[in-house]
Amino acid sequence: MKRNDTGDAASSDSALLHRAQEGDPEALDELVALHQSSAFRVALGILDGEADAQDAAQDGMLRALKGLAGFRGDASFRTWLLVIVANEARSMLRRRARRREAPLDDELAGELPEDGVVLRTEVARVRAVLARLPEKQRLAVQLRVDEGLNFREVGDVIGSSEGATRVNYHHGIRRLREWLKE
Amino acid sequence: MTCQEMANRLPDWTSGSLTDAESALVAEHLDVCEDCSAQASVLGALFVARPEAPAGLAERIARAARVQAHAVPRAGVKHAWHRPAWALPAAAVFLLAVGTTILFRDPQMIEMASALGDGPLEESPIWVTDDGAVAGAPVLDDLSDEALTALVDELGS
Repeated sequence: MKRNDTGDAASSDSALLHRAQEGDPEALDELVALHQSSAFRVALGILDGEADAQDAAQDGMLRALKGLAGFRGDASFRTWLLVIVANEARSMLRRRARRREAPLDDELAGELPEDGVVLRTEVARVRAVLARLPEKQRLAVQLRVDEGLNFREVGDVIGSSEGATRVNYHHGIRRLREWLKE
Repeated sequence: MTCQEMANRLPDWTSGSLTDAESALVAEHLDVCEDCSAQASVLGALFVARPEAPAGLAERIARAARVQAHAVPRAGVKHAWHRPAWALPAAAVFLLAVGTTILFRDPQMIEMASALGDGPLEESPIWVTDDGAVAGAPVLDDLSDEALTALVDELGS
């Protein structure tokens, strides 16, 4: 099992970043291609629709690329980018919630659709079960398992300490194990 | 390897980012530990189910990034300083106030003013009206930038 766009990302980021900061358009394209799936998944973990997640991923990546000169390398580029995308997705969620005038809290966001959609495939079932987790647990699991971030980096993205992130992750995994057994 | 250590390593084992030696240790533990094995199955299912970005998203973002790169000044290029609209009138009022104060602290000027008026003029640092405006100050609101520049130059010389 190998990652599509996470494995050697950190090592190749450095050279790519340098070229991108110099304004090399090909380097910008490569950065986008390398991180777009992670950005999309993080946005999807916060928002509840693919279209919104695409918009948030795009807006977050554009914001990051615009501020590339301000990236100091304190965190990995990947973590820095995902923090920006997560913030973008949360802003979008707040705007949507205000528009609907019905706040979407963790519990509501985690409910399965009520329209009786039959989730036929295992993949769809896993995604649906994952969506039932509260946001911080869901993102902790996703970022640790799907994106390969360590707990400190996951904490940076979800706005929690490393310790709290570990707790969120382990709670999330325990609940997923129970639900997937059903 | 303990179950606690396994819990920390399983995500990396799932995504295939452990070394061969580390992977062998994990596999060894999974063979004998039912609980960790169950957890590994859940992580495997999650990893397989992770969504990929829809086709076309990268192109869409890259296109927008190129547009943005042309629209936004390059990093490191400093923006030209823009003078706020109120700066010149404010400078003119300040200079006028200071100039008036200097003018009327001159004893010769006070004497001249007293001779023209009804009585002796008090030596005041500044003349102000009831509303706090500088007495005799021109109305600056309607003056153009060029006129204000000329006024400031004149006061400064």
